[in-house]
Amino acid sequence: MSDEFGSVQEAAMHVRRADARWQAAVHGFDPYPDRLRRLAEAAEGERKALLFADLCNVRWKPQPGARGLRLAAELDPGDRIGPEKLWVKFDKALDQLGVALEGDGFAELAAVFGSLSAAATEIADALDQPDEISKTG
Amino acid sequence: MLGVNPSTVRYWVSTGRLSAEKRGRGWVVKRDDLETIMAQRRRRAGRPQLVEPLADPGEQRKGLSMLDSIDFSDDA
Repeated sequence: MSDEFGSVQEAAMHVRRADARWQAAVHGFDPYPDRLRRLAEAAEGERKALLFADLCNVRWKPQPGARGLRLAAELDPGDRIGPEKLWVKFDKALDQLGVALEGDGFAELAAVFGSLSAAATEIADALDQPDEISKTG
Repeated sequence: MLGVNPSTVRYWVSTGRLSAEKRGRGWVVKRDDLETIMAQRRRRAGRPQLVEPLADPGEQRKGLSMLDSIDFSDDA
């Protein structure tokens, strides 16, 4: 296998780097709303890397058992800061992430990361409004 | 970390309840600060088992590696 542009190796390299940023963001210690912005940026990185993999015709391998995944307990419903309605969007996107990992291809997974990024950004934007800090999701 | 779920520590730091200092690529929290919060939780609850069990090691795996979605089977 060659290392030319668009090879499986190059696509894998981008996905590996995006994974590293995503894992660091999920396990991050940044205070809100920076934590959510970092998550959003990392999700956007995953979206781009996965779209690149799709364009490179990289072969897809589903991840059985991903449905219902949890990223981190502090992102679960209960004690979260921010508007509930926006966290519901985040939760829905997270549910879709598990479904997409079991699903059919990179494009679907990339779209879910786009939704996750948008949802996290919306919550972060809301948290930048002082009145929203006290609301929980 | 002192028997506290790492997710719980991240939540405390994220919400500003616990201070953390970034050092290189990692974060450091003061043991005294952490023990203070844990003591507050124990006092509030009146029972020691509020120290949470460690997270299931498998919990943090799913959804973190998109590389696992690449089929390398014929590339060896």
